[in-house]
Amino acid sequence: NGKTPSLELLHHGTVYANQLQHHWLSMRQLAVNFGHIEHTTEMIDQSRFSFTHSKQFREQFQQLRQLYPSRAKCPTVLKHQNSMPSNSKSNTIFQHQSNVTQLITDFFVEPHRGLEHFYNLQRESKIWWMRYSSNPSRYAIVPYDCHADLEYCQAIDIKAGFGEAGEVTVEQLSLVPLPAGNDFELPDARTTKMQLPMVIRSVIELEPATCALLLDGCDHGRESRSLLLNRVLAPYQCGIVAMQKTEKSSTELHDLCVHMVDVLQSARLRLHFIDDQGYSLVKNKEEMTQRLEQSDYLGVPYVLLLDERQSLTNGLMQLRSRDTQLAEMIHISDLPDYLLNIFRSF
Amino acid sequence: ATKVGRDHYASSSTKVFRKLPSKNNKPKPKPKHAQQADEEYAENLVKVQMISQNLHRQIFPQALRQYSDVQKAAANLYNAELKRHGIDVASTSCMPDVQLKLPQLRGPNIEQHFHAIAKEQVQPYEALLHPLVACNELPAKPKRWAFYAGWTAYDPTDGSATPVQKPLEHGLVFDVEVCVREGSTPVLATAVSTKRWYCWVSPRLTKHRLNVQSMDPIDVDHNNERPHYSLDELISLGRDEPSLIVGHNVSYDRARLREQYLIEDTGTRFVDTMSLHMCVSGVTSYQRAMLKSKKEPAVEDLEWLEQSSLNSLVDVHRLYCGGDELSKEPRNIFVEGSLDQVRQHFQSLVNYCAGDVEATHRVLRVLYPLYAERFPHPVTLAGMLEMGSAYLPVNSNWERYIRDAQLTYEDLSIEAKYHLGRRAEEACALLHDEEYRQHLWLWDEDWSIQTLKLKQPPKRKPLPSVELQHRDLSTNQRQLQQKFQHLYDQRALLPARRPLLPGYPQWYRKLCRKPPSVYSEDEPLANEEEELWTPGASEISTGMQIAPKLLSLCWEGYPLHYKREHGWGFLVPFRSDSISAHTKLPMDQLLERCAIPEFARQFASEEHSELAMDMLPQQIDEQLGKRQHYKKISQRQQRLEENYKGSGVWCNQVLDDICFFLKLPHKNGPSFRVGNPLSKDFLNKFSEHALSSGDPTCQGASRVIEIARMMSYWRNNRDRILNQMVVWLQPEELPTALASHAQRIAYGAICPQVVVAGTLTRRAMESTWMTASNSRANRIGSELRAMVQAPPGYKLVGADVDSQELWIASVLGDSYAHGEHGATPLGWMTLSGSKANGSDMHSITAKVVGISRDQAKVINYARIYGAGQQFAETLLQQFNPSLSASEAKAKAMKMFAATKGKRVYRLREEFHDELDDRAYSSYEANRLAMQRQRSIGEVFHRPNWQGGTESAMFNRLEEIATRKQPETPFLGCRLSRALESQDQEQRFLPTRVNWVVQSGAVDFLHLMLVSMRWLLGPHARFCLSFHDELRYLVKDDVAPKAALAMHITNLLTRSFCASRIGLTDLPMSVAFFSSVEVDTVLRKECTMDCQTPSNPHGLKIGYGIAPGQSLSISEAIEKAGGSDVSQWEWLKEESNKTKN
Repeated sequence: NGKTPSLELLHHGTVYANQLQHHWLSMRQLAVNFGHIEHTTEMIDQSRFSFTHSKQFREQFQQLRQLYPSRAKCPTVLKHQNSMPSNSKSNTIFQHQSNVTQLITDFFVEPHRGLEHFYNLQRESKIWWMRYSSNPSRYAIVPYDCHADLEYCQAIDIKAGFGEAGEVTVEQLSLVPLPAGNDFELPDARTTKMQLPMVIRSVIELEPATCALLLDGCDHGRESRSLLLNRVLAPYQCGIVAMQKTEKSSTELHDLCVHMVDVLQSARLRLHFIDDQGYSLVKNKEEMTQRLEQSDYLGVPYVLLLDERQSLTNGLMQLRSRDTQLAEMIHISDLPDYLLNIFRSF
Repeated sequence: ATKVGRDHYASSSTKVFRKLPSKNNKPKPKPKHAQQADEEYAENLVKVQMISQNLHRQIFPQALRQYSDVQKAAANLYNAELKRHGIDVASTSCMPDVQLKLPQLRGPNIEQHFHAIAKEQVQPYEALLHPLVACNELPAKPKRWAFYAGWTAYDPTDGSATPVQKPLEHGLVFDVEVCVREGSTPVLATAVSTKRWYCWVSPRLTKHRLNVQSMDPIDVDHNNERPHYSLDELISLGRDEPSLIVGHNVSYDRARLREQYLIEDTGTRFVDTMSLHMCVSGVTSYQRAMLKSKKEPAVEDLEWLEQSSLNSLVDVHRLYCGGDELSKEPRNIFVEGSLDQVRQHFQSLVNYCAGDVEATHRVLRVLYPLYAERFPHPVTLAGMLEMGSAYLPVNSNWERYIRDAQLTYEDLSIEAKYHLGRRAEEACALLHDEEYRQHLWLWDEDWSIQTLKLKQPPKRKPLPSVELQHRDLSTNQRQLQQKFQHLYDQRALLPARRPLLPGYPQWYRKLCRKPPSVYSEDEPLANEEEELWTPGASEISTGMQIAPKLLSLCWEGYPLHYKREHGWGFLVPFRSDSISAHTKLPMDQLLERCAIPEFARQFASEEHSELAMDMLPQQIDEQLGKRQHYKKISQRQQRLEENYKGSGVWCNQVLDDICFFLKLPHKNGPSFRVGNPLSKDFLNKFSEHALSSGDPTCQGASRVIEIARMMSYWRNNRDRILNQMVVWLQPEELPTALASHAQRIAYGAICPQVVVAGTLTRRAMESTWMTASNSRANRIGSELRAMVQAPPGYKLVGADVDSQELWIASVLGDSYAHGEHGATPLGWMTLSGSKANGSDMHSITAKVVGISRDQAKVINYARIYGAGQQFAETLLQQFNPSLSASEAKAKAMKMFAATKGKRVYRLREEFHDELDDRAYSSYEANRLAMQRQRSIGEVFHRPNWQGGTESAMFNRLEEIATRKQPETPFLGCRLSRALESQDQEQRFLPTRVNWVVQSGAVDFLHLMLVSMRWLLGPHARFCLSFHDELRYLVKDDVAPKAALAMHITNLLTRSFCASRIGLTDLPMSVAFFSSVEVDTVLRKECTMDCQTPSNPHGLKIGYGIAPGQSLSISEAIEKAGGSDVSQWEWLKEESNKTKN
């Protein structure tokens, strides 16, 4: 409508979103994952707390008992994804154009510790987002105004704030009691006594959340060039730039670059490809600066710098960091382990 | 009043208003039943409303409410004085009268009543204590101690050992030993009665299995490492009859007694020889420092040094018993050793423990008679026994609270660390083109870099070949690998110790960890996560010296700078010309940021010779005598200081002849150095306005400061809180009604280790609960108090005494000056001023001086406690760092003149012929005395205060404090011997004045404890009291009655105090608590939700704890089922008993 811009993720953005989804999946691995589920009109209409009454929810719960009996106890975790028309009422910055992917996690917990679990999850989730961010203080837990008549229901949103521009909800957490009756009872993992658990549902709308993280990467107090994407999540983790001694293209240097691409790729590091080539050769400092700026723009956290003088004779090369703008000297034999260690954790 | 006084007050704008009743604005509304109300209503000669007639008849039955003509004439005078201070006594409105039928008082008046009930309360314990005191020789100690688990009794004649369930006698001297490294539970204990010795040995020591299975903690994380104590590990003393335990610092021993943790009180009480010692011979903190110092004491200190000692058993024993020094050597095994070592040295360790019991007994025999003589009122002992039985119920929420606080703390420290790490990364870029040289904070960091160089290859031998992975490679790829094999092989030429981050500046490298040399696929285990290596400045924290620099912090706009010898300070430029080329200081940037202030400009233009002196202090030292040098500097400093308006501290430091280095202010005074501007004390005291980030792009700085503030409370209190000894109760150890709840929630208790008289003023001391602050939104873990939670079916009932100390001080002044409540300005304000409309004393001081009410409160109390004008100045400057010394001085003077008044001297009678009998100022008095070559005390009486609102009070306090044997006005408690000696009068006067009020407040508390016990008998369990606060644990059905009992306790206690100082009436405004809290948790006010960073949702939502009730006297009467208290069952029984 001209006021709130409509956004859509392009190629790089989609790669980034995939990374986020991948990390969501690998978090809490004990969960039962039901994969992608097609949405129904029932799901679109349901309010934040009414999902426990939906057919799909009930079916999933039955599946849990039948297919994963060892997981069917309290506490347990279920995950699934679905695709929905965007419904980001709480997003004041942009609209997402097409359907969004919802990443949904349901935690079934002991009823008398529901609140405690709920608060721990809030904290855990907030930290999860903070770790991806260029400014962890951006995230806030905001209570969701639930209707007074819904007893025992509680809900919060985790929002990323962008100063005066507004805020984006990245995750919604709701604590809901299950409908009474035997349908949803689970044995307590410790005492095996049957009980009616409470459920805590987490919903992440993948594409808007990705946009929020991208915005976060730009919204920092530094030079305007760098896109500060988290190094673990960045779609491209490393680039390779080699400096020629002369104007003349050097086959040796070329080969070394190709070899380094092999090394990093076989270690499953995500390499930044320019023009179908995993590296670029530059002739002088100006070109080098240009290349580095380009990778800063794309949020590539590291660039491997090769040259003819050292790299080709003794294997020494430099690893230049986007965040410090400095390069450290490493040896070819340090790779790929050193980089793998760097990307292992946040 | 003197002329001077009048000058001061002619224009006084001090007006005092009284809270108006909400419905009716007329001064004296007539209630519906006007007739009846008139019968009940009473006011005194200054129109202060007094307690209702029915109450007066019950409490002061002998006193008539009639005034003689003389009294009325006197009243005209003091009414005029009140008017002169701007007080309109007719401006008040009345409170509703209260109709109550109190239980029959014991004895003819309120004073004898308290004596009688206290006597009755201490009687069973005195009956157990006196034989111990009287016992000249203890039974013979056995030669050999039996190694049996549990209690063993020893025959006094043949020393034979008999296992017993518990000691057979009820009066014991007792000592527990704990093997500190093995946890807080006792390992052995000895006790002696007048009949025989006992020894208790822990089953853990004898390796006997505990009969009960180790308890599976309910609802508590199994994998956390917090200790989980149960009753079975503690010492049992039985629970049938009152018993009395004597020990030195006995609260420590008490915390290891099994029955103390049960919800029902067992009637065991404790006499602490350490507290008795503090009462009889306690010392000030100054004296304590003297006692600890190894230096030869000054002559004037000798007298009190003979009368006192430090508090340890060894010192106390030396003081009262003399003889050989007690040996404390075996103790080390308990402090450092293992259970095995205790087993090996069992005999000697039990003997050591028994030796302490004997020593405690010897101390008791000498000390108790001294105590009984100096603290004659039975209320004092009764109060101390009660104070020693504090009890704090907790449940599973305690562990949750600790978990939440720890997690929040970790979260925030991660967040702060992240911001700092980002700043560090960002700062690295300054290495390009040496930009850091222009950075105001980082210029003096170590920016050197290391390089990675290969060694020379060996000449003959080929390098060892590095084996490369070539699975899954295409032919091309393999060819390339082979082609560059020689590069890999040069790994052998890398230095054995690889430099960390070659190419990065040294200061940054110090913040980083060495990466692991290889990468392994394995997922690191969860518990190793902390060890997981991450790139970047992973070791950074707010406590580091680099942190304030990375955040570009400024003080008063000047950049912070660190100097080892002075701690943190800031840089103030004083010249822009002739900047030395040698300086590394980025002067251009400094001058751009902060212009040279005027006072500093003057400095730069001073004579060259003088400047040189600052430049070269060592040379001056050589040339001038030291003294002269210091004098010169101090003159110069004085000049600078006068012109400098900020709160930095001059430390005589000039950097490179271009700027001053001023220290940051420290809360303890100018001689201290600030080690970390992000620490709690610093942030709390000073940072409000003066500390900020000098870099507007630094988003993190204010957040890091905020986080540091949030974390500080937990960091400072964490250890004390984690070390609270919580003992958890099994369902069968709980009352039956509770057992069903115990399926899901664990219940336990803490016996806080209260030293019942821990200071000179006999105030109780305890390190965690009595210093616990109220919950604050920005302090992790400050919801601590609310984590004391009554079990289901119980309530915590209690109240804060409204302006307790202020009332004590002012009523002393009232009675002394005019014998009438509210007859002095301070008295009137205390009784009739109100916080709501800003007419109470604190609000008025706040207005006069221009500070906040809370700050005024601190200053008012400081003054009443005897602090001088100088101290007020310091406080004022702390509250407002931008206040200059002279402004602070002026404000303090104004305040003191308005309140304390002016000191005047009156001639002694023998000089009346020579001189006019009038008031002399101290200047005149000194001069006149000097003219006569006499001391001022020979010519004049002790000086008096005049003309201030508080003059009467100070005159009274000083009169008491300067007596030969000062006694508290209420219970006649004597001052410690260490302060009593005559020639110390002037030296310790502020301390003594302070003592009168604070020790009076302790009497007040003891009276309340006795009254509550009388009104509620066994139906209330004492929880905790600190300062002016009192809390009880009661069953739900008793709670309203307990609330009413609290109100009545206030009435009776204040009546007693008034009666003791010759007033036979009590003002209505102080007769009852403004409210009594009936609550389930131990928060200060029952509506506080205690939201903190670790409890973000508050108590109501986060813990499901509803607000409590706050009951006024009328609500309490209603809820308690009517105003006839004498009909309460247990009181009826009791009154029948006494009649029979």
